[in-house]
Amino acid sequence: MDHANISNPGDHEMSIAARGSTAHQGGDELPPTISLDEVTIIVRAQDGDLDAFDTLITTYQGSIFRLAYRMLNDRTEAEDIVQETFIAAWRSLPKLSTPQLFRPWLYRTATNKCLDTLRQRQRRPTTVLAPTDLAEHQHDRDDARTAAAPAQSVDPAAAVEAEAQMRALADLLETVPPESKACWLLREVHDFSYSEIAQMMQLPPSTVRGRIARAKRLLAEGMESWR
Amino acid sequence: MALNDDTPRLGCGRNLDDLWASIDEPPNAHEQGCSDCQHARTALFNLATVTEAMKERDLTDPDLQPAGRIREAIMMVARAEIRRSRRTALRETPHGSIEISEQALNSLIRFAASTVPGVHARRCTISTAEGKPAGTDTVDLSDVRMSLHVALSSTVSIPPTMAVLRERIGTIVHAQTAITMQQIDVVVEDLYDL
Repeated sequence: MDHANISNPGDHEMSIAARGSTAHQGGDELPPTISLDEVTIIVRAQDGDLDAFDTLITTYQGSIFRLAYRMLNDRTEAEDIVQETFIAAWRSLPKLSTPQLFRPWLYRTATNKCLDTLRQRQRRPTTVLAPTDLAEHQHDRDDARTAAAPAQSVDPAAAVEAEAQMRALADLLETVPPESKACWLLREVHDFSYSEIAQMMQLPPSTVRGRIARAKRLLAEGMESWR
Repeated sequence: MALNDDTPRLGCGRNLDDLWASIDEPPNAHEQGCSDCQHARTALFNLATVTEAMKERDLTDPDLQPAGRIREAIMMVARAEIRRSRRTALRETPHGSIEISEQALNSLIRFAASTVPGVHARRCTISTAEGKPAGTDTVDLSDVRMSLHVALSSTVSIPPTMAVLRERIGTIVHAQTAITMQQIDVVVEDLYDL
């Protein structure tokens, strides 16, 4: 029964070592690491393949962490979001009917968890971490990076200015309402389309456009002093 | 800049989102003569520049990766909750039975498929008799059937590749488990390199 039911291929390729099961032991030579398309990796993870799931973690943990870090401005909480998001993904993967939608599905889970965390902060203000802790950590890293900049062929003054602007933008993000910040990050940093964000956030596209525009206005106005 | 209920608008009434959409293009006739647009355009362009710089830097910043223990914690949960499904009794010995789980059998089938160039094995389903869906019972060793969905390279010829794939799966599964596949259905659902 050979069906030629062709659907859209995945956009990405990932490397995964094809390994035998526990029943496949005894010194057999394994095939070399092969590059698999993303849909294959996702479907295998849906089937409970741990190697495939590990590959998905490798591919997406960094971007999910960066989203959570910019949403929450807290490294520990961002790591918690990564952990909770992937555990939720592992448990819900079999229910994902369209493997091609794995990326927005994963981001939606992470975004909702970030928004929940921010709501919990508002309800329990005493548990809010001092923003200065993270800001100082970030600033220390920025300073260290800036100090190392002269070794490269970059104008030191321009490098310092660029770092200061990025720091200002990161600080300004803290002033943007959570839902607008989420929409802006998904659009401008993680390259989702308006319609994808609308589906992820379960909002009308017009509302997503409004929220992103509002975030841009706040950020652009806030950056005025850095021009 | 003024704000209404939906989308921020400039003093001239223009939608801020429309201006942003054309930020990479030269100013149009209206923008050339409108101070609101010129001001907003400069501010948005600056924001776009800094955003892009931050995005690129974050991508390569080793500090903007979760700690290694996070992956370990995730995988620990995944391993603990792995869906091994049904088991097939391979052999009875004086010390007990030897079984293989459906999960392990699937891995073996994917391994067999990976030895055929141009084949990416995807979903694999094991059944014990035609029309009898998988349940929670053990699989009958003498009547194991499987359905494998695959993605192929667009460079391979499907009929001979399917013949090789079936032969390879049957041979490797039998060699490793003594199971003789009664039926090997293969569904080509995708061309992965188009």
